[in-house]
Amino acid sequence: MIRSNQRRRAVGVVSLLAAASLVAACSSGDSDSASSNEEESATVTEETAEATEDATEESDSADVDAGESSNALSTAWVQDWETLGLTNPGLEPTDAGIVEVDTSQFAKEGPYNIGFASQGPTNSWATIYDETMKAHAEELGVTLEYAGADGKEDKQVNDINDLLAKDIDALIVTPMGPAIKAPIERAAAEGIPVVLCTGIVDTDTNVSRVDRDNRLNGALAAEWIAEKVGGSGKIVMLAGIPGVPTAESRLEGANEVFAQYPDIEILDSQYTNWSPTEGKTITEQLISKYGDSIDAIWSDSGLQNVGVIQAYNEAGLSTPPITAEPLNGFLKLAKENNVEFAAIGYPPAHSADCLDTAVAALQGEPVSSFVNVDVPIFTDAEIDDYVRMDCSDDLWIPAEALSDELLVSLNLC
Amino acid sequence: MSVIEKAPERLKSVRLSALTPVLGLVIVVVAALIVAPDFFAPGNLSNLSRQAAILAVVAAGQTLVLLVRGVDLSVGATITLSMVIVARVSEGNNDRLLFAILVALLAGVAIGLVNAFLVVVRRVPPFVATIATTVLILGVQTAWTQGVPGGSVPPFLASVGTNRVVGLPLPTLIAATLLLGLGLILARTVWGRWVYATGGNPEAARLSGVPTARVTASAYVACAVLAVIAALLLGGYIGYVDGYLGVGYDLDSIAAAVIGGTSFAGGVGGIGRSVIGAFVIASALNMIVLSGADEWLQLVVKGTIIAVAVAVQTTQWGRRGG
Repeated sequence: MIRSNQRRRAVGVVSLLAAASLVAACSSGDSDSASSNEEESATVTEETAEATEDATEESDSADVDAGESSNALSTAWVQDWETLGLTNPGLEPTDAGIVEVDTSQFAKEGPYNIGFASQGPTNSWATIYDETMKAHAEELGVTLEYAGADGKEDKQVNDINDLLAKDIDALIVTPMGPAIKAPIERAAAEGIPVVLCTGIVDTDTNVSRVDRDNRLNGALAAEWIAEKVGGSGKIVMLAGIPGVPTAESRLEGANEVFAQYPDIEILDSQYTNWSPTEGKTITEQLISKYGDSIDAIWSDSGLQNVGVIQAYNEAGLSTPPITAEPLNGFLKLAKENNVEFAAIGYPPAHSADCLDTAVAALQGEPVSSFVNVDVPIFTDAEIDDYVRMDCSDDLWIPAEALSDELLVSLNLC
Repeated sequence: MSVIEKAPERLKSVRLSALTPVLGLVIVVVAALIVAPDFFAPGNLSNLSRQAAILAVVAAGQTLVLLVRGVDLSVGATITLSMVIVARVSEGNNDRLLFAILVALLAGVAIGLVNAFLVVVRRVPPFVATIATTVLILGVQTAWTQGVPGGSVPPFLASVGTNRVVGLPLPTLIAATLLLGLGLILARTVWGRWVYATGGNPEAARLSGVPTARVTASAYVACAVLAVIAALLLGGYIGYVDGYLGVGYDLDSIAAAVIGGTSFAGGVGGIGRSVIGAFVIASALNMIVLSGADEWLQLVVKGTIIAVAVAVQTTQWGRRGG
């Protein structure tokens, strides 16, 4: 019993970390509680090390807990829609395919040398994502071999080859596209555990994927819109970049939900390329076509919303209820203009979870094949707990997990 | 001598091809009548004028470079860098805005000089030279900001970008004044004639005493400075700065100029026609959104317009050559 508890803890390191951030979010962005939760999860990480030996001994029964990790996703999902005060979950998460992976074959003694093939600092989200992992590596005493792909798929193929030449013990990849399949499989063939961090590649050779189910995010936002308009009304949809999996999955989830509401009319659906400029241009045009008859706007990011609110302001209309990701620039505008919104976050600080998963694999701990990142979800009612009037528009909220030095050095606060 | 002899023939050809962009605009407007009547709503036309005006400022700079047989692919990066400079240096404060704009303009001049140095002194093909500059600009920007633009747009600039005067967006009026002035300079001054002469036949121009190297260099510098001005209007209008503000302006500005009938071969083209080209592109994209057509179609339409424009232009060149 004790053993199984320990192992469950070992398995749940990452979910605990994520849960900590959810608790932080639910406790109205209270930074004290956020930091105390961080301390707690750090302690758990130490206990993980102690549990290693037990876990490796029991490696043959690794599949027993598979149902449990699925439950974690279902539970998180229920929490998500209850947080928004919704009565209907919209979509049920698909638990199928989530299994516990036996990593005993990767078990080795530290100190570890872990490769991180990242997107590279192409925007504030990605910069914070990288810096968070680097800081966490220092905390854990792990050497992080870093390679930034500058957002480019072809560069990342070379990056991974370079990292493999550096004799790394594990590889964390933020995949830039489907072509990353080959280098990932090469790493796996060399016996290196691969953790996919934010993003998906069509391979089953990785030990784990730490991510958010974007289809569910899109569905959750759609469900909020549906309940906001009372199941009947005219809406428009503003998606991200055509063909990009994150954007398409969100759109797909949303469309599945809207299909359940025959009285919701989708006036228009446009891609905004996650650009404030295009968000504004398109909204201006939608306003000149539909006037004030748009009851709500399903949007999959905060970036285009900056343009949406400005377009409504300039037309002298009030912005209809809208869904978003909590980008500080959007939150500031929403607060100023009393815009009703539901925000589903994906703060970049979960990169630390990816590192924890890679370390767990090197310690021979069983890891879940999919680690759901629990994210902060809130509405305009709680805006004052989240918006940072003192910080740059370019900050992704919440930023409590980040040190003040980092925020200042990046000119964000 | 040969320059002067050729002049009337070139003028005729200019008049002929000047009809192409107008024809393009007519086609777009007729198409709008059929598929998107909302196109003609006053609100939409006013927004459209602003979208097109900002592109037109960039396209005017691009036209100057095209006239001297060059091309500037670094305008998109220049636009982004300018806004990052304004946001960072001003830190969102009105009282530091003027200083920030000055820094951005100086950066524009520096970028133009680097392009000019590579093209004029080192004789690097403009395509390659300005791509190199683009990478350099992005590199400097990333190293400086670590990928995070930081800061915000000062309120005064935002009000310039969004306010209207007698129903017209302020950026439209500013751009119109600027472009009118630039058009006059190009048409009426010695420098303007030098630009056409340098592009039309550099060797002949040089022999007849035109300082072709300095004229070419001035075109690159003017182009970069115009990109900075467009960035100020765009940044004020959007009120938000990210690392992607200028994306697409390099190719769109070339497309606007080419649709307007400005030739890649140099010496043929003009500001007014590039403005019409900018309106063709902006109207076509505007119309697609209004008609509720798929986003996927936007690139197809844009590509078709450019392909047709280039095809028409080559036909005329062929005729003239024969």
